[in-house]
Amino acid sequence: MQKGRLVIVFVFIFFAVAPPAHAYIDLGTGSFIVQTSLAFIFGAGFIVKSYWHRLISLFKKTSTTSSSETGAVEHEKEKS
Amino acid sequence: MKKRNRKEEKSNIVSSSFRDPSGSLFFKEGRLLRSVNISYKEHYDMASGAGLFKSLVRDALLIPHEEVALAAEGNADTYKTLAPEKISFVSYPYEWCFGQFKDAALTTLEIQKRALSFGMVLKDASAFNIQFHNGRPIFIDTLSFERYEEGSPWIAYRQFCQHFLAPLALMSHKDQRLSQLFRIFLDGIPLNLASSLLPLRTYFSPALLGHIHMHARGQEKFSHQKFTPSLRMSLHGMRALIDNIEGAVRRLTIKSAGTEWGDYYGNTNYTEESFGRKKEVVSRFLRRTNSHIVWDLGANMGEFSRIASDMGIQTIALDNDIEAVEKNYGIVVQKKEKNLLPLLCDLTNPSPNVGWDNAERDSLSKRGPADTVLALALVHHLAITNNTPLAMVAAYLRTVCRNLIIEFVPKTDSQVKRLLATRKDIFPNYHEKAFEKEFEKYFTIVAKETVGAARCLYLMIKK
Repeated sequence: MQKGRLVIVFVFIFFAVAPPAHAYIDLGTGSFIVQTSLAFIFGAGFIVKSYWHRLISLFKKTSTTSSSETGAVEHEKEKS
Repeated sequence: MKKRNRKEEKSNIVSSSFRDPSGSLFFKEGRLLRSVNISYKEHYDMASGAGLFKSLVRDALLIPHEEVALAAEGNADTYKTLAPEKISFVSYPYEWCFGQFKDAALTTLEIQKRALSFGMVLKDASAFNIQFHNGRPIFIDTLSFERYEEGSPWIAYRQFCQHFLAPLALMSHKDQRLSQLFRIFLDGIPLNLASSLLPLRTYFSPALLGHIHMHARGQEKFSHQKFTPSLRMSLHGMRALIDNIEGAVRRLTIKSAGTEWGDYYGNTNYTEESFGRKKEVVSRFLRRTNSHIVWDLGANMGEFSRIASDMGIQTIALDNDIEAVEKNYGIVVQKKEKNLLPLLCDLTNPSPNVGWDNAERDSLSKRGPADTVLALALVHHLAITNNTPLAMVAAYLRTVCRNLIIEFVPKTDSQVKRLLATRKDIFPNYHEKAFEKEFEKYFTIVAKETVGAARCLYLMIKK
């Protein structure tokens, strides 16, 4: 629990001012603090994940290009 | 058009449509319409102009709509009026199985991600905004989008956790039947309740620890503090949060515990031949009804529901066994069936009218009547397992249908013998003649055929 409190304090200190939220549903102070903290914590992992996916998609792109070319050839064959 | 209550008739405003100041649903000239208020103009124009609506509709994530030249009476605040595509049957989260809940949650998150890529955000994440349409979950609240302000939090975060993550986690880690808590807590399951019910092992899941357990503590700790919008959450942080919740939802699964009636089809006294004959008779009876919507009560895994849905009839397959509903939904997804909607329903305690003024969410019977009800191998469960007199069964069924295809299972049948094996037979009036006498009070028997050893199938039309 001590660790959780530290994260909350940390987030409070380091994050800058945001525009006020005007919502018709109640966001709730606790929910806001928790989601901001979690976004910060999970953010680092998300950067790694995003770059990893980009890297994977680069390889996939190469193989997709070749497979779609094959598909196009097959389609042409069907037409003829 | 569906039956409406007196208040709706008077005001024309749909009784569940009062929370969002962006607009409301109303009936006019027999159509369900949605008014867009002037206060929502900026957001509506952005979603429409930037192509968000088009993108979501193209991928069947948002209900299609068209702008029409009709306005709600007495509403000078109307900017536009929309005519959304009609949903054939409105279902509620407490009627969904785990798979439906999970798909609804993932659909909501997909919409949130899509909205972000168009510079917008979902301002609410109510499970009631999802309906099942053509076999898949679809978002129905066109006015749930607003411009994303850089640095602002996800307004609907708490709501998403209460409406989706908490029930899914409880169903996955504790008991599927806990989805029924939604009947009481219409704004989702309170996180402190979910946190207290979830087992200790969920504390070792970073996502559940954060979004449920810490979230619940956070709510309690800061409940008396005024909201001070001095924190900011970057777009990257927002995407990370959504990605984490999505991962958590995807990882949640359920274990099949074996269903009470799950192996029913292989456990009846029907021979393959008489089972086929039963299907043939049901199919023939159904064709005589000219139905557009069929309810199959006690549908199990939908073997007989599919006779109707395969004819292109919108079919609601209701069963009180959540595992049977789960399996049935699995078949719907696997076969991409568009006309069948499996739902959880205990006929001895069907969904009631709930919410503000008991008018926000309709009872099962208020969402009817169906053109035809299938009540196959059902009456003996109601009459013997639940001690419901045949007179009451008949009186109830006349309120939910116009035509009735019903099976009478006599005491000589092995299934009834099984029900009576462990209890005293206090049902002297449970026999074919009494059955016909009670049902003829409300229905005309237009056809009767014997199937199997002594079971009878009836086609009845409401008087």
